[in-house]
Amino acid sequence: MRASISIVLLTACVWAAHAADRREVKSVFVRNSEIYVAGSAAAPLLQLTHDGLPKSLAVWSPDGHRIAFVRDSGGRAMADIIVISSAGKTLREISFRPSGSSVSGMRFVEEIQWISEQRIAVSGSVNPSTCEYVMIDAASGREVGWYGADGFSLVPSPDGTHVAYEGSVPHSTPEQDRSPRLCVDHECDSGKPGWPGYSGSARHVEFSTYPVWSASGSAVAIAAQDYQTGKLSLVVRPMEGDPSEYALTASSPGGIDISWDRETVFVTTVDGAWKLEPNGSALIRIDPSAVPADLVAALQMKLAERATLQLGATAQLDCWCASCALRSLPRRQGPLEARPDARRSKLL
Amino acid sequence: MRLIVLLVLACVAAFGQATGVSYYHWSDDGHNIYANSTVEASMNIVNPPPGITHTYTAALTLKGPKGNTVSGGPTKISENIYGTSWPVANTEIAMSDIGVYLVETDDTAYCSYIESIFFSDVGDAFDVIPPPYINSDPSGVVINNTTSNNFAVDSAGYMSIYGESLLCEDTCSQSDIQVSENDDPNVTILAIAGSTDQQVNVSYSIGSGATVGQHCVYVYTPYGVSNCGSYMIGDLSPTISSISLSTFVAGTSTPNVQISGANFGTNCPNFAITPTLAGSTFVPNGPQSCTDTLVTGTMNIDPNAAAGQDTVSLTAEGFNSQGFLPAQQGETQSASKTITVLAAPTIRITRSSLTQSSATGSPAGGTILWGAGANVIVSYASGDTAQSNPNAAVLSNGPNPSPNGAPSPGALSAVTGWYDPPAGSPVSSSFHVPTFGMSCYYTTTQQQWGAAPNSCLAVTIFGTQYSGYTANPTGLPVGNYCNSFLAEVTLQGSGQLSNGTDVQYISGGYPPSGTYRVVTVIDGADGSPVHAGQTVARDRSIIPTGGVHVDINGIGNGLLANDTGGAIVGYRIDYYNGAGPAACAAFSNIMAVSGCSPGNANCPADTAIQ
Repeated sequence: MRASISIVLLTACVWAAHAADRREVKSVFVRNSEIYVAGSAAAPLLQLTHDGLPKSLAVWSPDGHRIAFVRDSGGRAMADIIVISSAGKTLREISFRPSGSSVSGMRFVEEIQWISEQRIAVSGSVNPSTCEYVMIDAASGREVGWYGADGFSLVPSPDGTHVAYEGSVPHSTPEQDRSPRLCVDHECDSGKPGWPGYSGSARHVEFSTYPVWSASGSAVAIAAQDYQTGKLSLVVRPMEGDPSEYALTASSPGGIDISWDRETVFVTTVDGAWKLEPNGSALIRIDPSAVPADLVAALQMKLAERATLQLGATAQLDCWCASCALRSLPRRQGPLEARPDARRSKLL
Repeated sequence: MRLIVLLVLACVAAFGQATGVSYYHWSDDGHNIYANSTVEASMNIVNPPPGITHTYTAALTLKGPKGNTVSGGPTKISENIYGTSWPVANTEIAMSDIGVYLVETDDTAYCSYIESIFFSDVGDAFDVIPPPYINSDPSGVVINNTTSNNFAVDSAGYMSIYGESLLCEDTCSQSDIQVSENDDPNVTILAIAGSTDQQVNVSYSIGSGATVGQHCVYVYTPYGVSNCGSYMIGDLSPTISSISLSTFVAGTSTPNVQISGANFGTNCPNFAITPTLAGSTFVPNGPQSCTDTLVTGTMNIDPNAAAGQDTVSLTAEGFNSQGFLPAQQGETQSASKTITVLAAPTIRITRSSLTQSSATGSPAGGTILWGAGANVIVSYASGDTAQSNPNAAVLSNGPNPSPNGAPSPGALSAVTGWYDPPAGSPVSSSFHVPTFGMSCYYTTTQQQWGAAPNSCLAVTIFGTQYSGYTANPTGLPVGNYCNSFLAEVTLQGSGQLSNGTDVQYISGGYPPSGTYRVVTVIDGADGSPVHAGQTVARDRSIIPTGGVHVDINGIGNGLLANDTGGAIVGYRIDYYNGAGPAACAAFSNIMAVSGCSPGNANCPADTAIQ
């Protein structure tokens, strides 16, 4: 059964490659506790590991030359984070959160992702609400940064120099008292406001998507829903300047996708499509066919990922693309794609 | 048959008649007659006028039917004397000349005195040998040893022709006669031995191209050709003699079923199955699968067909759609055969509890297999095997695929029972079981972090180490609190003091600047308290608000879903198990078969079949 799932996943990656203008796509996944790489459906699989130790969460580095994955530590640590070359050579073995260390935070390693060529983000839930993101230097294995996010919401900028996420709201906070914020880097630490600011000084919103960076990394966009009125909006947060909020007339917070084409934001929902021009004052409703093809391909890939989820949530696969819209999207197949709906569920 | 030639003596008015043709024979072609005869006449003259003697010579003329003079001459007529005669030349007389011959005299003076003239045969009389004659009623041409004159297309055999003079009144031999069908080249009729003057035996062969309808057969003898011996050609009524399978199962399609019989015709018949149900059909494989005696096709029995006897009927059009006997163009005829229909096999699955299910296949017997999607293991209950019907199964949790014990997302998995019946195709039935990737969370406790002020443990959170203590933090009872405890309360949002009092973080950040408050209970996101071992956090899109309880195999039953959070997405459940790390220390992040009460599409109830 596992083998058949992998084949389907590979098909999804190859399909994504086709959708992405046939640019180079390769995938990495775990089968029978070993790491495999596939370049195309026709090429033979390349087995990179042979030790038989349980592994999971294999992900490509941004340049496609390295792979990081989680390996069972045998009880010596929360997990071992392993970095290997694309040819299978072990580059770094990181004992993450060794047993006995007086560190509190994530309970388990549930996700890893490359933030940049140098950093790997390891994340896990602290409790039902809060997730801890730990930045690890891929070369030294040292922890070099920490973020507390509400859910698995942290998204790195395309160049890896920034992160955007939904700021942590302590669990057990009464729902009506929640004050989720869109945070960039560490601005929400130590009293910095984020968006829309601290509880009491701004209205209560819940986010309907994760942050989406523009290709240049100059701005991040997110969909929000007013807790009191239920109205939807698109928030665009430039790295320089104040955030702007635009009314979004979609009927439901579920199924919203945000994409960037240069500095233009496109929003697609089940109700239609909108765009926000640079320096635009409002979202303009457009024909869905007017959404740029690359973005459509990216969205279609997301649909394929959802289909993959239905095949088996335990099957994970990471696609790497040299130069395509995949770079600006969450590439992991699996829990990531289900999160927007979870955001909606907060208000159900 | 004897040919009669009537001779009439005519005078001024006809006054007598007599017969008398003595000799003739038929020409070779049977169309003419040769006559060579002597006509003898006698007259009786009564009370002749003066001058008229009893003997008188008169001129008589013999004229044929068309008025032509056949013979004649002076004839001496004597009173009370019979006889005068003259020869009739051996002249060929056409058949058309057969009829009334007149004896005339132009000596009218004696006509009134001539009482009568008689003609009589002279010498030997000859029987006439007429042309052959076939009885005109339906018995004239019949199939051998039967009384039927209905012949089937594409058949061969022997027939009998009944009539007269079929062997020239026994003057001809077998080889002198011929029998033929003149009109239809697809019909061959040959005389065979054993014929008599009243019965000719023939062999016949009627090809498939024969024209359906009334046909004629003729007998030829040296004395002529017979009238039309009428008979009929058509197809016999179709019959179904057998069907290669006699038993079918409702809801199945059985290919290559052969229906055998006779007289199906050249085109594929139409088939019907009664009782009529939309899904019950017999479909021939194609034109090549249909012959006059066999049709091969697929028998489809409607899934809703009741058990019992059904009737397969065909309606045929005969050879070349020419109908049947009695022949009517375009006529159709039907035939039928009974088959036995078994009720469609069914499998009925029930669930008596979250992990107990049972499948019953109908009819009895057969085998039952179980299978399940991701995260669910299904096995036979103790004592049951695949041959058990009914058959009980036990659901158990699948393994957590994560290598490091991290919770993995579950799914809505299908559990399927396949029933392979003794006859017919397997059927299956499924129900869905939610499986949740489990994790455990707890409330941090004050004693977990040591005793302030001197024995506080240190903790690192988000890269910052918290050690030492804070005196009288805002909102908490007066006293010293380890900063590690306060930091953990800030991170988790709540904690429990050593005396069991629950506290919550409000704002201000990590110690020493945080603000807290004492609460009587810690509420979940839905607004109701969380209780150790009794409540869970879940994704509201899977388990909605409103007091839904969850039964989790291996964890517990009746757990209230009243909490949520952004880290719990999809088929994940975070199980609240109280205060202190020990609450979750032994917890295994299993993948758990679960059920909701009330159930919904994403999380069906324990015993739901959906």
